[in-house]
Amino acid sequence: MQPLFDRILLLKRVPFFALLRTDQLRHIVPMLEPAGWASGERVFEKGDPSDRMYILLSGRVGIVLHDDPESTEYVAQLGHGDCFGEMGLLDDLPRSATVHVLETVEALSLSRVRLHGMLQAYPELGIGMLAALSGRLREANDARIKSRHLADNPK
Amino acid sequence: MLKRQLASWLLIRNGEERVVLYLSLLYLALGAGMAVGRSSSDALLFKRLGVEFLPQMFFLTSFLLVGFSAVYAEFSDRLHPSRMFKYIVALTGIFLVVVWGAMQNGGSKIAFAAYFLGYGVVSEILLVHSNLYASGFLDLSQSKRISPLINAASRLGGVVGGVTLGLLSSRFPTEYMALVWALTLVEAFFLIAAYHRGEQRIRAKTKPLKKHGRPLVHIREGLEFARRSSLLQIAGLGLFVMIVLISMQDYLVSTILTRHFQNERDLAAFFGWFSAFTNFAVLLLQILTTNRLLRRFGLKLVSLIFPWSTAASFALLGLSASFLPAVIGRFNYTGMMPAFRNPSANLFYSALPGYMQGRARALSIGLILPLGLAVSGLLLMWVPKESVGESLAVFGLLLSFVYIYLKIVKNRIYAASLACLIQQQVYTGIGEELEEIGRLDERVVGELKQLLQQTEDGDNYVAYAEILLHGAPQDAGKILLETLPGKSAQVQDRLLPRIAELAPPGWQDYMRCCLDSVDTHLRATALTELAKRGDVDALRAIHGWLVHTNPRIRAVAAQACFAAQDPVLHEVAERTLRTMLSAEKPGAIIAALSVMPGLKLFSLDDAVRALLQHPDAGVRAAAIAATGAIGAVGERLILLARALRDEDVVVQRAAEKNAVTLMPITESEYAAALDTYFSFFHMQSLLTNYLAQSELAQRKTILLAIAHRHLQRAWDKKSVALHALSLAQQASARQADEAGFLRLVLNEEVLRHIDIALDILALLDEAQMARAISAALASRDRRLRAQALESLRHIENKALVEWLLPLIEAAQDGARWEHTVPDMPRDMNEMIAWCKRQGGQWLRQCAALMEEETSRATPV
Repeated sequence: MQPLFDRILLLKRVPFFALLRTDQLRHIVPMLEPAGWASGERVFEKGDPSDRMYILLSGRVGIVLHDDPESTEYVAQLGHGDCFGEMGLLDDLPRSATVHVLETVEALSLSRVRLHGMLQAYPELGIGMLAALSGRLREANDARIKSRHLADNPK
Repeated sequence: MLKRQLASWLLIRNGEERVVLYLSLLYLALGAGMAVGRSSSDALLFKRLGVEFLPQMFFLTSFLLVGFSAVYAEFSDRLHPSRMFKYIVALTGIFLVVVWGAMQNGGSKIAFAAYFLGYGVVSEILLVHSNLYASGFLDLSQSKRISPLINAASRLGGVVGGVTLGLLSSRFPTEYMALVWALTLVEAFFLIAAYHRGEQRIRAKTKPLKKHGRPLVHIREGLEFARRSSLLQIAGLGLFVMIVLISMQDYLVSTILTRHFQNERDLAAFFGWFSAFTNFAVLLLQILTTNRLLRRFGLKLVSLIFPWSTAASFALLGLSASFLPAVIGRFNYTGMMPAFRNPSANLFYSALPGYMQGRARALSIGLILPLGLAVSGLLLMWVPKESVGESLAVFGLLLSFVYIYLKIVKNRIYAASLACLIQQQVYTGIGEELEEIGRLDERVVGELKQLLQQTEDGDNYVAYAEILLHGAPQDAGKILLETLPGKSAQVQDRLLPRIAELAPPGWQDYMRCCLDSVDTHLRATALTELAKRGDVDALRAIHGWLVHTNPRIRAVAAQACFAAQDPVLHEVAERTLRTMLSAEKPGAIIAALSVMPGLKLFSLDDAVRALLQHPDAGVRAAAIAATGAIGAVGERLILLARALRDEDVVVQRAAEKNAVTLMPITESEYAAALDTYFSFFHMQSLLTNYLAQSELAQRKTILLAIAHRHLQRAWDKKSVALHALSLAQQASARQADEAGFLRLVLNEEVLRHIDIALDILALLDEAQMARAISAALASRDRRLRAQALESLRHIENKALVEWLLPLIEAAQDGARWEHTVPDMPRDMNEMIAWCKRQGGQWLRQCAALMEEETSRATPV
């Protein structure tokens, strides 16, 4: 199938873009820039400036919240179709996590400037973003509750 | 396979099987018990106490209902419906065992009356609570499919109960039937307990019991709401009339039947077999008719069936108060009522706000039902025994017509209430309200002035200013001149032309001050307004501005020249603009283009046309905004369509904003444009929108025709989209992916066709309702969508609704789809060709890309 259609379907599966129609997504596809890293590299480190978000085409990455970039305490592992790095695009703060490449990654990236332009053009995107962020928040809450439960009941 | 076919036949969808099975078994047990209870309590009362005591029983039931419904309302809000259900069932079982003991060996007459009254109270409370309980599992669209099904299970229970009574009444004394009823309640208790077993651990704390008056508060709140809700008023009145009618019919029919049968056992056996027959007949009606009628015609028709059957049965009794009409009369209130009236009455509650549904039910059971029974009891006690025949039937017939009338009125109000309810839940815009303000008095003007002085928010300032300009134009100019200086340049810029129009004393001085502003927009607006009115200072300033280094200032100076009445200035201005349009820097071109709309400079048309192809998106956007007067309609529409397809969204938005100046003028131009751009959704919405706003005589006809065409195309696309699934199974991996993609796009286009049809409905006479429906369909809320579908059935334009309903049901609810197209594609190549032929712009593009891919993949 045409790469354009593959990309559109990929975007359709990303919660950020799920509410857009395929004819709207086709305008977004050309704005995505290809990116790639080999296994063992880091996509970015905690504290780096946030300027773009990424959608994984292949490979796997691990997310580390620890201040030490060498740490391998992954709070989440992401794979095909997942996206990361979107928080910084919205709050304009430095990266809150380090992303390690676990398996060689092919990805698509979207810059902050383009995302802001798209938000104006397709307001539905904002709702998709809220849905995705709310999903992340839920996951974080669950993880926090679980870790607190483990701390209270070490056995 | 069999299971799937059965589910499809019974309209049960995936994931609903478990709940349907549970509710069906529960209703089966309850139905069996109620059949036994009703028949045996009737037989025992009529023969042991006497049918002439029936009016007194109605009267007493009314008081008991008030008390028990107060207790029910007290606990129904505090307890989970399942827990409440268990309590009701358990307490009824205990009551039945006690009453059975009291009825033993001839028993006291009070025991037979208690058994009859107990049935009267329990049947009402169980009916209300079981419906409330079931509605918690189902939304409106599910209710319409599934509630007739679970009610049918209750009927099946009635058959079982009736047969049991028919068989047992000849072998056992009739009072033993209370124990049979109690046994069915034990079964119901264990079913509820088993289904909700897992939920006990996460059960929320029960709400604290308030000290007193809670049920009365509910009824009072229900009454207060009824004062505001015409739906509740008419429904309450309808319910009252219905109770009086049913009581009259019951009394009349029971008297005839008691006379006909010599002893209690024969009467009980007859009631048992009759109950079995009635329930079986109603079972067939419910499975085969009610839900299909509800889906096909909605509540509007179904809610009228019972009133008409009541009128017909009274008519028969009026002709002859004998055995056969009595049997038909009993069938009316034991069969027709649960088959048609009860399911539709439950659905009516969905048109009330959620917080009021419980109160409305409390009002019905706690006030209207007892009041109806008390009035019926008194009325029938007053009727002489010898008149319990044809004359009572004639009175019933007349009252039936009142009931039918009330139902018709209720249907009309129901549709409006449903639309209102949706609007409360989704924002659909409130439209322009300024026109309703009227003239403002001095006090309000003073308050507005104070607000204008105090507010620091620009938007608030403009909003207050608009109110003032509409409501007190004579004072507005002066007040704005006093309060506007010091506000942001943007706010001043917005209001400057309005002040110039009103020309209050000192306005020119204020404008001249604005000429010195650092804000270019404000300076330009002030210059234009002054030049329009030939202000000497402004005209002097223009010459300097025409050669200013800032292109924006040069452009506004040129614009101001055209406002002045001087041909020499016009010529200079045109030259300036032409030079700017051929500049290299996009900024200069955009500045020139931004002042051109409305100037009608035909001599610059060619320059503007060329700029529509400019590589800079900002220039293209400004150029499309300046093309208003270019060429003929055909050319203008081509330019608009091209801009709407521009790769840059800024250009698309500019085209959309400027569309009004590019629209056709005559009816034939509109019809031709709608036909030419049929597959271009964006153009369709703009064209239909502006056509609807026009004064053209044939606009409604043209719009309805195009809406039909869209819906027909949507039906075809829906069919082909479904067919794509089977094509994908036969195709290669690549083609299967393509089929999946085309299916996705086809379904998106179906929704876009639906949107256009709904927009057209909104643009015509059904604005409020169509907008509410549209918003509800776009929401992800199942209940709202179900309410929207119900509202759609009440839209006047039936021809469009008939096309719309199945489409929306299939798109939103996954309902079955059986339509097909004559040129249904047989393989992927034909599918691609079909999409290229019938698809919208994007679908065609997808199909063309796939075709290219196929030709590349095929070896030569």
